[in-house]
Amino acid sequence: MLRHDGPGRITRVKVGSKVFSTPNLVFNFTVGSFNPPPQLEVVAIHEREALPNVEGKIKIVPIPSPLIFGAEESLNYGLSLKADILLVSTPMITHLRDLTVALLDELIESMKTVRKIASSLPIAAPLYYLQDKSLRSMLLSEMSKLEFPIYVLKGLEDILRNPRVLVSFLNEINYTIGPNALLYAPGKIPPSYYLHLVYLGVDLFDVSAIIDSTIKNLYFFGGEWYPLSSIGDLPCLCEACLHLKDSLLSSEERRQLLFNHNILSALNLLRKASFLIKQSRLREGVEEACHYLPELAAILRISDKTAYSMLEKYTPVSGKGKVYCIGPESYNRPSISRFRSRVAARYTPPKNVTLVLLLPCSARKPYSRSPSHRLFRKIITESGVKGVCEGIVTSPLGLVPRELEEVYPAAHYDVPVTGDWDQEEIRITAECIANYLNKFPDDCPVVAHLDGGYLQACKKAGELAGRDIIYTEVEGDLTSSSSLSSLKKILSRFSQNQGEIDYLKEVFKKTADYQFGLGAGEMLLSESAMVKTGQEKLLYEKGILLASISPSTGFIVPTLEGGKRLAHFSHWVIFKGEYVKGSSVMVPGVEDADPQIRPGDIVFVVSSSKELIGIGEAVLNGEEMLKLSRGVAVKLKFTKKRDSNER
Amino acid sequence: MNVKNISNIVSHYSSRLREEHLSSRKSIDAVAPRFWVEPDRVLEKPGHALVVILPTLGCHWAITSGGCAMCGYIYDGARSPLPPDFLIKQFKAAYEKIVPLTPPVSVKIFTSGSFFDEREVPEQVRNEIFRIISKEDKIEEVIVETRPEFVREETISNSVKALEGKTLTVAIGLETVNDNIRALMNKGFTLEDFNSALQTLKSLGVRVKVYLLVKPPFLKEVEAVIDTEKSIMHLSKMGVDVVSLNPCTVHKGTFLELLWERGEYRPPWLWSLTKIILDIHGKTKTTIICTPTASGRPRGPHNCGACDRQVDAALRHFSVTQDVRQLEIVDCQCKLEWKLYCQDELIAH
Repeated sequence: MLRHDGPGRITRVKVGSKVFSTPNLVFNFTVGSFNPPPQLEVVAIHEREALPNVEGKIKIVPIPSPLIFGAEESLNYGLSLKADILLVSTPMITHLRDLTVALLDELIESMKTVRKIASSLPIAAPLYYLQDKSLRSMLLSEMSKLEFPIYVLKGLEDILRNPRVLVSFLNEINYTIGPNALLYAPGKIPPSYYLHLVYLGVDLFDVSAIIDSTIKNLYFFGGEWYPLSSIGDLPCLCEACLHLKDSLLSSEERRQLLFNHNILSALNLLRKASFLIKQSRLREGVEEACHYLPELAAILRISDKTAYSMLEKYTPVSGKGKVYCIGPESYNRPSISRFRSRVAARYTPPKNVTLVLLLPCSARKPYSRSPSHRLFRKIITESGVKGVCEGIVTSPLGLVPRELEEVYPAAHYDVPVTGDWDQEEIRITAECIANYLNKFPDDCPVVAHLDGGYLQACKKAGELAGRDIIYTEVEGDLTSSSSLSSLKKILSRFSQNQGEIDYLKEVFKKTADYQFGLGAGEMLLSESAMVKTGQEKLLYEKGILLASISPSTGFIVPTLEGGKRLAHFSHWVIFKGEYVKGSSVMVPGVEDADPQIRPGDIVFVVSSSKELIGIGEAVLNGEEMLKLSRGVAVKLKFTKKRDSNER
Repeated sequence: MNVKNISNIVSHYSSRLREEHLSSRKSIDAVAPRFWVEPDRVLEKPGHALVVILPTLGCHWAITSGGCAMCGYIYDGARSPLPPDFLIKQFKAAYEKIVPLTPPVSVKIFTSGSFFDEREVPEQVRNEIFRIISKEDKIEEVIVETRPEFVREETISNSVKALEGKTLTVAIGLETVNDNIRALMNKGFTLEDFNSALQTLKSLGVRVKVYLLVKPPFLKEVEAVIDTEKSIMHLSKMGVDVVSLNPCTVHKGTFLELLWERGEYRPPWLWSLTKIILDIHGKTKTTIICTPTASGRPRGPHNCGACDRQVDAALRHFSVTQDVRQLEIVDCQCKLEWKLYCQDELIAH
């Protein structure tokens, strides 16, 4: 396992001396003159005649059902075709329940036998979507106990058009089978589904759908199939397309070219998935792909709703660059939902707040660097009121406390600004504001300087929270001189309220709570803490550096000294040993890990005698660190040397 | 592996279906003789066969145990046993068809059950039919069908004597050499049972023909091809004279129909039959024939619809001539679809 974005992942698979990576496409149509294009490294064959065409490729050989043919005969069939991976076939599951029960019993028995006698060869084992829930869980748990390296999701094409069933099945598989096995979705899976299915944890597909459409003389482009005959100028510039319209081609040659174009276009989608995972942008790619088909939009919405915990636990806590939230598909994106729920659960207001001020978001992030927020803050100062706690109203994050404005994704998201809010945005935002307001004492005044959709959401929040909110009078836009003077006038009414908030210290406190759990801030910062700002924010105590804030993610990166205060609180990784060497902790070296850990989290590596020996960034989530059998668990930033000096 | 539990369930479903459907059998006065003449291979030469279907009570196995998962021939039988005279009269009526034929000619007598089961064909009827046949010079071969349990030394040697030198060929529906696969169709006998029948028949100089069921229930197309090819080679070594490939068809009132109605079974592609023949041809001296029934129909072996008649004709031509050239040439767009179907069915379902 190399990298995640949601359950979607990039893996490197070693089979004997051969290696391939996933997500990938299996070429399972080695017939006559149709050869796999050189870009495809994995093939599935069941006929000897095909062997010469697939020299050097990784061979998956479907073997006849051991349940019927006997394990020995089945295996010999696979060996005679020089299999690298054996794919076990099984009788079709029927609608007759008693028959299914008997078949599954035999199937599980035969898989045990196969596993025993095929010791060295990797086996791809079947998983079915069975309508009967108890049979389905039984099959999943029995198969998972046998720990096969690959599972074949049989009959997946039959449930593709039923998003609810599809999502719950993949969710169940993820839950039962865990992260250690590859998932292969064979059969006629349209390539337009690839990004979604990769996102939901599928690693391998095959070319059946592509062959099927090619035989029907269809041309794949941009997620859609078109009759080749209906296209004049081809929109693609691949090698095959350069020749596809030559009038001198025989129909066989034309079909081979069409095969090549279609297969490479489908493979490109999987390459795109890999690339997006590396860029931590797979989710955006999936949202974009929702527009291929209504079912795809449904799959994503249902996943967000019913499989949130599966999506969230694999979603890195930070990403690279901007986070674009273009449409309703983004409202419940795990990284966004996670921000909302963490603010709701982990944010507590600073002490000595005298007034809550709700402000609108700005295009420039962090907000405080935008022209509008500079104006707002100038007005606050001029009004003379002290102890103002600012909450920034925004969609789809809901409400961003000023102290967390630099934390991922608050400083990284971008939305199309039209001023029109839909009902869903208003509902989500109102709930976030209400939740935020409830954190303050009932007598703490709340002032809102908002208009448009922000104002609508805020009014609804006032009703939800049962609080009176003082609204400024807005004329023109919020930064017009009359609007600003209304804000100033209202604020100055409270100028006798004098609190004191050390904003920079609060940033460390609230970020620590957000990152490591409520209470972490108090542990990290004592009364004598001091913050220095320059290139980055640095936290000192009595001259010792405790932590810094990463300018790119807004997260706290503690030093070993600061880490000592948090290591036993959360985000710990217990290492099997007393000292770590090298730049990373590998999975086999992990004794235990906090299940709260998410990819990208700052984690504390502690020795088996519970001493902090390193600080690093998690590559995997806590569960995977325990369940996977190989791979990098943590990339180290600081390690404790044998002579106790920091590096 | 033990498939007994599964085959018990198949047997249970079959028995239930029999109860529901057996009442559809015809009463005695409604059964008419069925017979026709078809080109056939007669003792390794192209010739003609007279096919006679005798409307007996039908297969004892089907009546008492639910019978085989794919077989509905029992519903063609009569509701109650037919008087011996009636059966003989029926045979005589069919026998008229011999007159215009040129040799070599064979006679095939089918009962939708076992010819040597005396509950179906009483001894006196059997003797009379063989006596009539023994008088006709044109006829070189007589073919009858039976389950192996009815192959008794006494019955067979009497039959051989009654035929006075004409070749007797006994056809047995072994379906496959794989006992598991046969158990899954509730066939009710083993390869060992077949083998002892084979030894009896061989020792009495009787030719043995075996029916192989191509694509039995629970097998995928690819597995069916593997199984049939393996069965042919195995039977050839056992000394079987003729192997008849019977692509599975979906009969009414059978367990297989239950699956087929739900799209859980598809009869084999005709391409799978051409593949089997082309793969095996030349590797064995055993005669291979394949004359599909209901080909091109949804319930029978079929390709895309456009090429079914052509491929069916090529198979029949091969069966008579043992010449594979037509099978090598015959082609259609849907051959790729068949390949894809095979892959998909094996891996994805």
